[in-house]
Amino acid sequence: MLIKVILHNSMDVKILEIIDLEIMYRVGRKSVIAVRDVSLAIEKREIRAVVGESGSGKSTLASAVLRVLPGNARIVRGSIMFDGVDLLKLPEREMRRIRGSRIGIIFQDPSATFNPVMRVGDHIAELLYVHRGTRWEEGLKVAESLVKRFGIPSERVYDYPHQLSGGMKQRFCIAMAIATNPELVIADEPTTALDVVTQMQVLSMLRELRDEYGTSIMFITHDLSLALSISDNVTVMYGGEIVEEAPSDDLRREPLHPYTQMLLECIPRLRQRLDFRRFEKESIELPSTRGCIFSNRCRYARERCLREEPPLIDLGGRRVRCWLYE
Amino acid sequence: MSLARYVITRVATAPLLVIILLTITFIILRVLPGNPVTVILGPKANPAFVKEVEHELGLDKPLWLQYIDFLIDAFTGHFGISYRWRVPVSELIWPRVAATVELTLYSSIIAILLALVVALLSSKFKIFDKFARLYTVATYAIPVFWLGLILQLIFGVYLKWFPTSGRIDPEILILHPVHPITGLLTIDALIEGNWPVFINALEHLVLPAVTLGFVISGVMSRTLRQAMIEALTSDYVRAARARGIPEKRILINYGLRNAIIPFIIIAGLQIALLLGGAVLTESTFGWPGLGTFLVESILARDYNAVQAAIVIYAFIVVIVNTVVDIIYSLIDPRVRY
Repeated sequence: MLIKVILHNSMDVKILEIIDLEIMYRVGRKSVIAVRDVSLAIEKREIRAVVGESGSGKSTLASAVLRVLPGNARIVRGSIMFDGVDLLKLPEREMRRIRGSRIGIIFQDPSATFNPVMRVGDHIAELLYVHRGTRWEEGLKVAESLVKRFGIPSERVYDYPHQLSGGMKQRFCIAMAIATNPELVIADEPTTALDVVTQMQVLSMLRELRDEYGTSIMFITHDLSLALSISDNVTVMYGGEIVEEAPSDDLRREPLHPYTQMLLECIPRLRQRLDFRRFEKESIELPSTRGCIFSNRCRYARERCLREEPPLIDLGGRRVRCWLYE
Repeated sequence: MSLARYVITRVATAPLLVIILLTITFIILRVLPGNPVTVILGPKANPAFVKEVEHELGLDKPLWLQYIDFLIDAFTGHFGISYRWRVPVSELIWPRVAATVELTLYSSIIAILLALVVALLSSKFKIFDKFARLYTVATYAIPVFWLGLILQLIFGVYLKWFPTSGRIDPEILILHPVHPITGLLTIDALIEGNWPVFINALEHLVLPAVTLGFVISGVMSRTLRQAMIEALTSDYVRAARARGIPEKRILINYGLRNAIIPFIIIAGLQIALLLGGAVLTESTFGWPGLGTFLVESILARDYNAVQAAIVIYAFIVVIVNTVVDIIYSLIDPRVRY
């Protein structure tokens, strides 16, 4: 069943490699599968977008990499290799040293990131103190020069979180995520809470980050057009599984999986009337069959799709989970 | 607005609150049935003699004049003559206030320490939380005089570790006299290096302070625990964990620093209540404080003494509230003044 990850890459180019990951949530007495059969590799200097709707497991994936899953989550199997080390086997103490230091994270809601009784600059100073042993005043100076580069006046470092606008807070979050010069930055819907202009600023900041420091970025979003505009490669998730993975240009030109096709058709283009009807009446309930998880929404669904789950088929450079490409 | 201006306006509005409280006190005392003169002279006194005493005490004046006299007395700190003791109330009341302040000081310290320990442990360990809940219920449910009696019985009568009543043994005070500087025996003794008095006063404080401290620590620890759990399950703590901030730092800088804000308000209210005199505790331990003074004065219809006690109580509440507000604005950057 499991198709091994593309093996032609040598170990040292990959910064993150998730292998056959399965995560379950306990909800009351029932167990719900959040992530299943997920294998993906992110290379150094790569911007990888992970796209999916709510409940597709994309944020669970992000939390799993940092091992900050909620208490009712359980990693059933799999491994998460970061720079050659399995994060899931690391003792908590060593894992803590990686969080925020070698893997940075940017959350969706910037106002939920800051401690309301600490100045924003103190957050950066604290991070540097904890991971690098930098003296607090020095950390504040670093924070000043960091935010200046992102177009924020350096004295704003001494403001409290409630004194900053949402966009400014998110730029602070990015500044904080990169303050320790991490090898990987996970951005979990970093632009969702922002207006379009600020969105673009944040995106260009992330791209700059990769270009200047060679940081790998795992960009999690529900917005396929946004994903295509920033990333090198896109992983599309549906119902906790990877349904398609391809270089962004290939995906834009020729989406293979019926789900990706539907997502792309929903992206509005200039001078084109939109047809949202297709999605309107659809349930986001997953089918109870043992077959393809997308079968109940798929326009090409055949009898086999209901019976048998398709594997992630390797098409050389891209992967798709659909019987159409067998 | 700057912090300095905020503090000034807060302090400036305090007297207004005090005047309102004073007026209400004045009215209630006059409306209350019972006459101080009949209490002093007995119900069968000679009417002519009653008139004479009323004149002497100023009770024959029109009410509005009595009210003006009362306000002037209140703000000059004279409080008039005690009807019962025939000495200025101010001479009677300040030692009582000092005794109450001293008891409050030590009970607050004990309560805050207890609350901190209980709240920190119960927000961190689930098992301890069950015990903490029982602890809180106990502080609500156990009558303070009963707890006082039990402690007296165990530590005073059986074990003989601590004295059961009073502020100090008189013979110690005669052998080692203390000059009243603050009126707080332990502090004065400490300033003068008068160790026998310090130790003896401290021994007298242990049982009443523990009793009071235990009783008010319940509310405090519950408030703190609630606020701690709220802070520790918030998004910014989740974000801090994802940045690899160590748990100890999270507990103090993220949990406690946010939880201390509602805690200070509750603790301030509790301390203000204690400063008004913990009547039951003071009676149980024969503590010569403001609470017992107030009760005795009300029973004797000693208007001036009651008024004085209430004025002081009002001042204390207003001062504590102002201090709490100022502390609050210092520790919570979101407060707009």
